[in-house]
Amino acid sequence: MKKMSILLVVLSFLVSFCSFAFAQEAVVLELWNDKPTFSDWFTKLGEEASKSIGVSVKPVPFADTTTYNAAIRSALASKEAPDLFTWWSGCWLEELVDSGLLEDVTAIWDKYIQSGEVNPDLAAPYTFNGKIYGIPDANDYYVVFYNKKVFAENNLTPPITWEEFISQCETLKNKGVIPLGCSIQDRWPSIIWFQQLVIGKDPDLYRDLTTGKVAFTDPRIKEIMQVWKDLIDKGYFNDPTIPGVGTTGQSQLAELFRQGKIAMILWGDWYDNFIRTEDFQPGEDYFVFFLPPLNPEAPNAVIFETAPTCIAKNAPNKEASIKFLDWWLSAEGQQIWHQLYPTIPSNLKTTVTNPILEYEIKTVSEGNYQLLTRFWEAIPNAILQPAVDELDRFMLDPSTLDQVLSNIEKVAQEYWASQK
Amino acid sequence: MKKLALLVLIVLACIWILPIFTMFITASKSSEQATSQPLPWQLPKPFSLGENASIAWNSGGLKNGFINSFFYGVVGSLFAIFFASLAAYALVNLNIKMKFFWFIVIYSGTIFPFQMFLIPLFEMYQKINLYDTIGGLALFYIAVAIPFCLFVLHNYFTTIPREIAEAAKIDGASSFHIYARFYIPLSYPAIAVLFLFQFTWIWNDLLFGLVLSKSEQVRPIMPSLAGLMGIYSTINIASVLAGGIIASVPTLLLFVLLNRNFIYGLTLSTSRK
Amino acid sequence: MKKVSFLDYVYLLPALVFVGVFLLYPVVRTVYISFTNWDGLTTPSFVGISNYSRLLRDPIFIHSLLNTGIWVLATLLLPVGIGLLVASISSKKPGEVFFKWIFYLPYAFSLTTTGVLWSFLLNPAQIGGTFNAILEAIGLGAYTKRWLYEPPWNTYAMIAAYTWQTMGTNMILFLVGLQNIPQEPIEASQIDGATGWQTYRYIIWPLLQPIATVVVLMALINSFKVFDVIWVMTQGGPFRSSETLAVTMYRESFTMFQMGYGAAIAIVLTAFELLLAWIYLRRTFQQEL
Repeated sequence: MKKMSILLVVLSFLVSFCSFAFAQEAVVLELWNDKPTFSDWFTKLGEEASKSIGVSVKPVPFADTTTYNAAIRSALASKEAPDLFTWWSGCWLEELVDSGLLEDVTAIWDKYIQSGEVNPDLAAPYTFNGKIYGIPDANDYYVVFYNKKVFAENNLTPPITWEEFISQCETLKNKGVIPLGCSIQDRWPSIIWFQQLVIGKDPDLYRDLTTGKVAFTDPRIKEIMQVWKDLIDKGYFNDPTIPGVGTTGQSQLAELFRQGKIAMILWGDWYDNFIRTEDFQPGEDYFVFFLPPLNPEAPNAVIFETAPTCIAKNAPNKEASIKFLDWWLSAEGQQIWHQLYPTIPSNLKTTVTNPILEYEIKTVSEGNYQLLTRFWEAIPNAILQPAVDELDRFMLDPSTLDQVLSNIEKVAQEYWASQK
Repeated sequence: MKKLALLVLIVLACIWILPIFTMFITASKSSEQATSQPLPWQLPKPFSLGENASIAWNSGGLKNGFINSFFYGVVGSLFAIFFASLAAYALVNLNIKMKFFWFIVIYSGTIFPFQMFLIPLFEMYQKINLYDTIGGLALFYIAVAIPFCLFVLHNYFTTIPREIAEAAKIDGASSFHIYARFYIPLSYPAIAVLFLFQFTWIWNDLLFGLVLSKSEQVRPIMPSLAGLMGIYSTINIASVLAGGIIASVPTLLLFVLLNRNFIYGLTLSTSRK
Repeated sequence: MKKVSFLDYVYLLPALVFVGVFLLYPVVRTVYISFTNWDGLTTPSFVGISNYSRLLRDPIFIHSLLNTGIWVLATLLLPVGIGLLVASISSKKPGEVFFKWIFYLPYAFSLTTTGVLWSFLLNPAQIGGTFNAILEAIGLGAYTKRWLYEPPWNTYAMIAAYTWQTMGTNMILFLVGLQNIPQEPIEASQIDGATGWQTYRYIIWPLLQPIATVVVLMALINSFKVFDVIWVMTQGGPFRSSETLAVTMYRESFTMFQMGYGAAIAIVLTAFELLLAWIYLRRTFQQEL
């Protein structure tokens, strides 16, 4: 009899232990990405998620963006599809959506938009045919970083109008400081000034340009390029071959900025990671402002860069993946992610601890800034790559202005024609 | 004339040393100094090679890369040399029809641009479950090293006098015996050079390591190093170069070790004549 | 009377199997892809020879072909030529080991590291690029350039980086070949009163042929395939000015996702290489038989 009761006690312990373990057994999702340096953050995010919803995430970093792209494209259609993966928004996402290999997460967005926690404008680069296909893991605005010491020495404050901006450039140049920083290292940064000047003329012009309704050879675009050419000819820009950030581990542009040799850099606010050092802090040594529009009648607008994490249609653990993304977009998930990675949170309830991001969020909401998707995502790849090369050509030698615009337009026309 | 030749040699050596010197100096600078004082005659102060190396080591996951690449390098080179030597021996010494055809078929493996292999291999590996496996990557490295080994060994075997093989055959030796007891030992210098080159190639491979693996357990060292660079990484050039230096220690050591073998083996072979 | 033994063919088997499965099958698949318009994502559809006819009309392809030609010629002249020179001068002389070290060392570093290092060296003088700084220091400041951004200097700069890295391997192979040359014929010719140059041309050079064949062919093939160093240093730019066929193939396949077009470029590149290899090797093979 004693043996029986001992056996029963042991058995019940075993049973409860097993069910306890079973209940605690977290599903581990694979998050494929091309950002090896984010691995720690993804892992920590996964740990927090595991505590909250019993779903954890394991990052699978690919060392190179190009191979990542190829691997994802191949994996999505196969049985090797990942649960979650990072991607790019706009036209890049559209391509995957068209192939029918992405899971639709509109329900998650609707939930948070209805509760007022998420601004519906944020979903625009992820929306196709009324459905939304990803949750942002990064949101950034393109702003001008300015060196406070250099400004103070020259009695300058962030400009409110374009004229003020231009005269500041002139002042700085006369004092031997390069007013504006730029780069064409890694090809793509040539879009930064291009997109900014176009939205500064008219955000609708930008929208029409990127959807093929306006030609690159349109007189308005030409006018904008002429303004850019003037700025370069006046010597306001540094040598564009100076690396900004790229695949060779060099970012001398940031160093020149810290040294006060360059006064302002227009870049995505994530460039902060390259500028900030122990001795060079935001608020004291540098800060940001939104570039005034080239055209004083133009409404407030800012270039918006956003990147999603998506769920594959063939994901092995689809339900858990949806649960995870839901949690990630919630106030709790967003707060945790914001502590790990400094980016503008998607959930309005998040307490922002980064002074630059705080300033940006406040300015954009108070000034009713329109969010225009970055050129890299706004225009189809077939036009984008040649356009980037041509803009590089322009920055190296602005006298090629006409040739550059007509080269891009030729590719654009071919593309839009093939779409009909 | 001799003095002029020596001068030319010294000038070339100076030109060759400058980038090496710059690399070591830059990798030894702190990340601030690497950008504020980039010139190689601005010496590192403080000397930060150890720090930069450990940043690279820790961020890049280089430990696994070392182990994996070592395995791939040794296995890939040895098997490739073995298989290629068998084929070379057959083409030189045995009764094979259409020798040139077989030679070109195998050698053609080295002619195709590598990018061509990427997508088809990637697809194939996924289908037969070799993707992201150590075995899969090892098999590829063996295959890719064979053509050049065949080429060199074939050429080298043709310089081995026929009389040796014929004498051995008269003594009753089998083909394989002649291969193993004569051709291989006589080819040590060529084998040493091949091992050095193929190991180094496999060790330095970036493209295939990137495409055919994704997890740290399988990934070779160069893809891990590549992950240090790129737009999402704030790691600075001093650490990138320091990482490059650490990653090249094995290939350097191999050169030191094998260096003597070329000469020793050669004098041995010439003294037999 | 030689027996035809099946066993003899077994020696060829492992090499054939490995090369066939891992290297030749992908080529066959690439040929297939070159007749489609595959984008890596959706199912491919057959488009006949339109990729190939597009090549002929594409100015980038022509430019890329020219660049490839420059690389091939330069590789023969520089990594091979200098390798031969250095090996010949230093062979069997004191200090041979020292020079072997210096010239081989760069090969121990990966091509990516070389690319990163050289782009650092070629930076503008303003941010302390070593080469430009040296030019300024010795009074040749007028010759400083944005090396990687001005065609055709970008191609020449990358060829320099490539030469720096690979010359050592050619040198080593030539040294091996030179070591193998017996002393008697050389001594005999010198007793007969031949000059150094004559000895070199009529005795040494012919005996060096087997290894020279290896070096030249290897260098030629590799020069067609150069990719890493170009991609890291300029990505084929600026504005595609420094692309070679291998780079163009990669860009079309992995940046533009025109896998079919990229495959066609790869096939064309391969055809050139195969032709070259066939011609070159046939000659050497026949000399032995």
